[in-house]
Amino acid sequence: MSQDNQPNTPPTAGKRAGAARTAVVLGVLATLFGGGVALLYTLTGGEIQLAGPVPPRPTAPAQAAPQPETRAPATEIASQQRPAPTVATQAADFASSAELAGLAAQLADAHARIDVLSEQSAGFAESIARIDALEAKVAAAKAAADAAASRAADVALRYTELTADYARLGAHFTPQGVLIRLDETALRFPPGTAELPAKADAALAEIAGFLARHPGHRALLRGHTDASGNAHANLSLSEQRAAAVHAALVALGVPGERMDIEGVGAAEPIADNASSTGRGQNRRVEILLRPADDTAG
Amino acid sequence: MSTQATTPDQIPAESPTQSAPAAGHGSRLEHFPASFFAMVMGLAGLTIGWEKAQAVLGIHFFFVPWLMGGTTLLFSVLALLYLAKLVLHPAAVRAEIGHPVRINFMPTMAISLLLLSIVYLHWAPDVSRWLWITGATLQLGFTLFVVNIWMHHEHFQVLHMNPAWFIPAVGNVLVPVAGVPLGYELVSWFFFSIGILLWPVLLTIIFYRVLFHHPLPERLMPTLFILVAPPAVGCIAYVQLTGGVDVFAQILYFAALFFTLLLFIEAPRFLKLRFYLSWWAYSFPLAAIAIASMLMADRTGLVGFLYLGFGMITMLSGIVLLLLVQTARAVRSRGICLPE
Repeated sequence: MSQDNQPNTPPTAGKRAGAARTAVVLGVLATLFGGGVALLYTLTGGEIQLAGPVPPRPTAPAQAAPQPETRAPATEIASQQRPAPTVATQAADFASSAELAGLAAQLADAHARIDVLSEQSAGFAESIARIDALEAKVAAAKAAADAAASRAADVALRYTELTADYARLGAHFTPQGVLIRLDETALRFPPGTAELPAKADAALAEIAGFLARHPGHRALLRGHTDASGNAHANLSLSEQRAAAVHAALVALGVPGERMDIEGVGAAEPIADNASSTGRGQNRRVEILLRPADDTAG
Repeated sequence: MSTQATTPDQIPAESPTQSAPAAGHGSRLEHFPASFFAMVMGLAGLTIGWEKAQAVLGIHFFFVPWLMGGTTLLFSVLALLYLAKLVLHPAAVRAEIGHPVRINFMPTMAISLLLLSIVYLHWAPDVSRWLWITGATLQLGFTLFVVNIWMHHEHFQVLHMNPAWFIPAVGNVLVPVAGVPLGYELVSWFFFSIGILLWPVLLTIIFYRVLFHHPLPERLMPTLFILVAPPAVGCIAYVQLTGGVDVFAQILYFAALFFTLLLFIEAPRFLKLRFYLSWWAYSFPLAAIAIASMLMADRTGLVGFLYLGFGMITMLSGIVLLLLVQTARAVRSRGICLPE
């Protein structure tokens, strides 16, 4: 084994050669180092993105760090004692750029999915707006239907009241309207006169009450006579009788303009004028009740 | 082993001196030293260094898979050779284990396994896991065995101490680098503690020996580079264990940087040496400080560290190439695998 521990013994030529060799090797090493630095500069273009300062995590045994699921090889590293360190430390150490490319592709995928989902959610927002509009319409239609139903109920109620009133008055339904016949037993006109006896008020009060309850109705008062006497006198007598009923009803509170008077004379008998009873029946005033509109009666 | 007293630092079978006799010429396998695995350590360190550069820069280097393949191939060849030695010359293996100095180089096998597990950590985690388990178990076994010898061997003198003694003790510091990502955090802390405990102890003894006793012989001077490895690898492991760069990590890194600087100032002295297999001791520690620099760049965001690390890894690539060439020449000229 040669021992080169004494630097004095080699000849000067060998020393120079040795020094030259040393210089060459050092030069090569320096070139390699500088080459590496220059290579790094050109590879990164002078700009290097580094993760930056990472504070140390606590080392207590209770510490648990999440294992990233996006790195395929790492999912096979099942922790047997403790989970592996964080994504930052894993990615910073020893990660291959192939994995990084895979991660970048997955990120692009995730972005694409996010775009699709936000389109879909915009569509959903539209649908929700339309549903709201439809619901508002449905509510409005329901309200209208309810209003119509209550109006119909009102009308039905009025109709019921009306027919009850008609029945109370002993009315007949005719094409001209609802007919109430006040004959001599109710309105005892003495023959040839047009003065209402006082006890006619009871029957007339019913009529006045009806007219008060149904302000939409008008009354036509038609006076009749029997066939005795001349026609001209009967005509004016029948008119007078109708006017007397008119006056009585006005006295009972019915507005005059809601009533019309007509004298018919003996033109419309309802009984045989030959008998006294028949004549008594013909001497009458008929009241026709008509609603202002055509719906009821 | 009193015959060793006159040449205390002899690391046999590593000096390819041309004048050595051809004794044992036919059984070179018998003298195949475990220290050959230092080649795997160097190549694996280079591979991991380029993997780290890839990761930090986000740039893909085409030759990294080639480096991985080459390292694995070399390891397989050496492992097969050593296995053959174990089968064919078990006495030689026993002698190597029983040798108080050569035993220090046997943990290079365990460290090679641990380094390979780091190489494959992100490419084949299952393979990496099994490499790590085997390597860590072997390393622990070697550590216990060697420390046991230190405590009970009768004939050690200070002159026997050399940086190779760091290998069984501080190789433990390498375990967390792959152990933490694989999920074995508590076990990694165990190994890290062993290494960090023994590092200052051995460092003190080395300094004491170098200061007050004979300087290291030529053959072993390259092993001074091993001084860089414990703080550099310790820094990397500590950052893995704690997740960030704190006070202790910075102290470790800058201690490693100091040793690197010191040794580079000494470069002319190293360059005067002829080739020994121990020259491979240049490779792994430089890889360790380069990786630690890139790690510091990544964690602190300071680009200067990245330039330093990248420059060193480029330089190391040249050095490893030179070492491969020199080793091949020495193997061919039959200067290696010689008996004592």
